[in-house]
Amino acid sequence: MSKPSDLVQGTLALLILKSLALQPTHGWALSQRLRQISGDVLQVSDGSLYPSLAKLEQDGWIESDWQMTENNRRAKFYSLTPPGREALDRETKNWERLSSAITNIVRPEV
Amino acid sequence: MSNRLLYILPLRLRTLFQRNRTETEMHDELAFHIDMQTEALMAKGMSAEDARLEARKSFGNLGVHQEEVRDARGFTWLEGLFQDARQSIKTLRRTPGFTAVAVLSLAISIGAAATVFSIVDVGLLNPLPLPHADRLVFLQEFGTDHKVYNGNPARLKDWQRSQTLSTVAGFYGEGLILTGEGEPSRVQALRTYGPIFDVLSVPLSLGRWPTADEAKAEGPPVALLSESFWRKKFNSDPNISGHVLRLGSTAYQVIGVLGKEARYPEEIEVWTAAPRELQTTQRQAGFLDQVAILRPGVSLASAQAELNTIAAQLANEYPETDRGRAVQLTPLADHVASNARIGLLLFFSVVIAILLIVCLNVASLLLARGISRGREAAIRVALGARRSRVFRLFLMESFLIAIASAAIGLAMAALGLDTLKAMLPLEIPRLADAAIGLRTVFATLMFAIAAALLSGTLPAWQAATRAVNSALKEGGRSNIGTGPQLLRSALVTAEIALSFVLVVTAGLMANSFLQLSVAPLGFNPEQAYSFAVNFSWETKNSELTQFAAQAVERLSSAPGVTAASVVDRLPLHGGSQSGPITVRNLSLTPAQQNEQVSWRTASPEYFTAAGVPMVMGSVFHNFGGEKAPLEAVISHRLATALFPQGDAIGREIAQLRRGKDSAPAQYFRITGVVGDVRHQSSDATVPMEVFVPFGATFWPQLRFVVRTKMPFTEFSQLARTRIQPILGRQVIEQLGPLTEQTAETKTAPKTRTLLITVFALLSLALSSIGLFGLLSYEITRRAPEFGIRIALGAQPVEIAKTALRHGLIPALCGLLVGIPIALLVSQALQSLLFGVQASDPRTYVMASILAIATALAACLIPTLRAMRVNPISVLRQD
Repeated sequence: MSKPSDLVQGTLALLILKSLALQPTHGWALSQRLRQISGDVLQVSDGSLYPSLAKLEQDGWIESDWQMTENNRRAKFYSLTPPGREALDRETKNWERLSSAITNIVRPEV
Repeated sequence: MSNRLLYILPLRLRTLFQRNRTETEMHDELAFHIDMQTEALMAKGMSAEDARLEARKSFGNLGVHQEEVRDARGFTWLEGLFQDARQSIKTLRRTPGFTAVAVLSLAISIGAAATVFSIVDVGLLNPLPLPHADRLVFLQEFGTDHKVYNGNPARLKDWQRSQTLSTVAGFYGEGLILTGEGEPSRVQALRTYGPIFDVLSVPLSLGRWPTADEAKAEGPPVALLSESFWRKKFNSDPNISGHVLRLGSTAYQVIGVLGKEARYPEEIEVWTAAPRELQTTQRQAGFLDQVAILRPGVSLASAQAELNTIAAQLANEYPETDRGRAVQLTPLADHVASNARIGLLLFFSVVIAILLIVCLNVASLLLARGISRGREAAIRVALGARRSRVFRLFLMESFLIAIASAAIGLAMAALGLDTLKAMLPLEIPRLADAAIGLRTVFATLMFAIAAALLSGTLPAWQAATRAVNSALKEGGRSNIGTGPQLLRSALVTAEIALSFVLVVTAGLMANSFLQLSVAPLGFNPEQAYSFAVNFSWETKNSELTQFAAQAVERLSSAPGVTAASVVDRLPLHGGSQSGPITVRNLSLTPAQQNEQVSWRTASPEYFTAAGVPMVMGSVFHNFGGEKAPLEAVISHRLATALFPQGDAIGREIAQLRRGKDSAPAQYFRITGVVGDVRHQSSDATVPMEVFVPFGATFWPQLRFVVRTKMPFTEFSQLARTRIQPILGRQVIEQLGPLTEQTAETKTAPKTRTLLITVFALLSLALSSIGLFGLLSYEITRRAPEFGIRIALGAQPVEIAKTALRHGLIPALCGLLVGIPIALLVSQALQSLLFGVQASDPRTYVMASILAIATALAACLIPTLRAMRVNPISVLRQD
C-alpha cells in the first residue's frame, strides 16, 4: 500500500502547511524540502504528496496558481490561504502540547 | 471561519464543471514533477534514461496517485453518479413494460399537476400583476348583519383621514353606448373617484394623465383608453389624443392610452371620472368598489385597526346612515382571486392527490421489482459495494423515471393547457395568461423530485437493507420474506384511502349538481327569447318608461307573439335591488323586519312571457308611469312568510326607508302572488320578491322577454325591424333564446363536477391497479403453498378466501383511513355544495360500495388464478 497511514497523512499535511508558510512553492520543490526536513522518517513516495495537496486545496487551506519558475517553466505554485495560516497556528500549538505531553510520558525523567 | 468558503466554492465548482481542465492540470503538474526530478538526477551525473526511470520509481505508482488526486478532488462521487445513471438506464431498458407503465402514469399525473399549477400560478399566486401589489388593499364595508355594502363617494372621502393608507380611490363599472364610430356599440367604462391611477400604479403609454380637476369631473370631460381598446378600435392610432369620443350623451376628449399593465379591473375599455352629479351623493347609496394603497411598512392589521377607529368616528358623526357599518381590508390580490380560490385549490389538491396515488403505485411496483432483484443487490454488497451505494443505485432509477416523466408531462401540459383553459369557468383571474413558463417548469421539476423521492426511497431502502441480510442465503424465491409485501399492502391502503376521499368529493359535487339540476327554476325558458337594451344611469326615468312601453307595444302587436314584456333582470341573473320592507297596518316580527327582500320591476306581461305561474290574484294591470296606481305582485315565498293565513291580496307593502332626509315610504297594493323564481343557478334557494310596475322604480338596464313559437331567426328579424326605429343611440344586445341566456351561468358547477368526477374515477382505477398488482404478486409468491393445500384436499373456496383476504384487508383499511379524511376535506368544500351536507351519509355509503366493488373486481383475476393453481406443476418447481 502506497497510501500513508492516517498519522503520517496528518503529519504530512502539517509539514506541507509549515513549508508553505515559509514560502509559496511548487510540488517538486516541496517534495525536495520535505525530504530534507524529515530525512527518511517519512517513508512515502514523492507521488503521495499530490493527493495531500489536492485535499488541502479542496478544503480551502491552500490555494494554487500557475507561475513561471526561475528557469522559465510553467509550474503550479501553492501558497497558504489566510484560513490555512490560522489552521497552521492552531495545529502547531496542538502539536506542541501533544508532543510535550507524550515526551513527558515517555521520558518523564527529562 | 466562513471565509474558507471563499476558497472552497470556486474551486469545487471548477472541479465539477471543468473536469477536463482539472484533469489536464493534474497531468501537467505530475509531468513537471517528474521532469524536474529527472533533471535534478541528471545534474548529479545520471544518464537521461536512467534519470527518468529513477524519477518515475521515486514518484511511486503514477496511476494510483492520479486516482488518489481525483479522489481528493471529489471526482469519484460524481463519476459514481454517472455510472449509476448508466447502469439504471440499462436496467430500465431491460424491463420496458415496467418502465413504460411507470413513466407513462407519472407523466400523465405530473403533466396534470403542471397544467393546473400554471393556472393556479397566475390565478391564485399572482392574480394582480401590478407594482406594489402586496400593498394594495380592497376596502369592503359591512352592516351589522354581515351584509356587504358597496362604497359611497362621501364615505370614500372620509377614509382619506387614514394615516396608514396613502391613497384611497373608488370606481364603478358602466356600459356606455359609443356612437359616431361606425355602428353604435357598447363599451365597458370604468367610472373613477379619486387618484385611481396612483393606487394601481399603471403606466401611461401615450398622452397625459387627467388633471386634479378632471379627475373630479370638473371642466370638459376627458377619457383614457385601455391599450387593447385603442388597438382594436383605433388601430393603435398614435395621434389619438384630442379625439372626441361620444359615449352616451356626453362627448369625451381622449387624453391618452394606458399601458398593457392596466388589467385590474378586468376588461375595461375606457377610464373616465364619474360624472359630476355622481361625485357626491347621499351617504346611504352604495355602489363603489374601493381600493387603497398601504403606506410603506404599514401592516394590514394596523391599517385595519385605524379604519375601525375611523368607522367608529363616522358612526358618531353620521348616526343616521353610518351606525353599524364596519369595514374590512383585504389584500387586493386575495379579493381578486376570492371567487376562484376554493375551486382552484380543490382542483390543485385533486391533481396532487392523483400524483400521490401514482407515486405510491410506482413505489409498489418498485418494491416488487426490488424483491426479484434482491440477488443483484446482494451480489453488489458481496463484491464490496457499500449499502449507501446500493441505496443510491436503486433510488437513481426512480429519479430517471421521474425526470423522463416530467419531460413528457411538460409536453403534455403544453399541449393540453389551452383545452383546459377553454373548459374552465371565466371567474379565474388572468386565466388567459396561464402558460407553461419558467415557473411552471421549475414547479414541474419539484413535482418530479418529490415523485422520485416518494416512489423511490422506500424501495431503495428496502433493497439496501435486504441486500445486507443477503437474499443469497435465501435461495429460491419461494422463501422471500413478508416485509416488502407488508410495505406494499400499506402503500395500497394509502392509495385506496386517497381515492376514497376523491370519490366522496366527487360524489358530493355530483349530488349537489344533481340537486341544482332538478330544483325547479320557477320559469319556463322554452319558446321564449330575450334581448337587452342598456341605457346609461343618467337617463331620465320618464324617457326609459316611454321607450320600454313603446318597445313592448311594438313587440306584442306583432303576429305570432304570445306575450312581450320588459323586466330589470332575467331569471337566474340575480336581483337588482333589495332591502327590508314594511307592511301597512301590520307589525312585523324582528326576523321579518331583517329579511332582505328583492325589489324588482316588470311590465304586466312579464309573468306570461317568462312562464312564471300565477298563484293567487292577478297581475297589476298598468304599465308604470307617474300617474299609474301603485300596485305590486309578490312571490309565493314572501307571501307565505308575511301572510301565512293567505290574506296577501289587498295588503300594502313598501320599501323601508331609514334616515331623516329620505322620502316617505311609498306603499304598493298587492294584487297577486306569483310562483318563486330562482336568482342563481348555483343556489336553489328562492328569494322573497316584490314586483312593481315597470317605471315605478328606476332601473335603466332593460331586459325584454318575449314568448312566441316562431324560430329564432324569424324572431331576431322581427325584434330588429320593430325596435330599430325607436332605438335612437341605443343598441340591442344579448339577443337569443331564453334557454341560452339562462343556461350559461351553469358552467362553473358543471365543469367542476365533471372534472372532479373524471379524476375520482381515474384515481379509483389507479388504486385498483395497485391492488391488482399487489394481489397478483402475493398469489405468485404463495402458489407453492396453495399447491400443497390443494394437493392435501383443500376446497377452492378455502383458497379463494385466503387470497381474497390479502386484497380486501388493504381495501377495508383504506376505507377506515379514508372516511375521517374525507369528512375533514368535505367540510372545507361545504361552500361549493348545494343542498347536500358535507357528511351526507348516502354519499359515503355509495362511495364505500363503489370502492369495495372496484377492489373486488381488482381481486377477481388473481383469486381465480389462486384457485386454479396446479399442485403438480408448482411442486415440481422447487
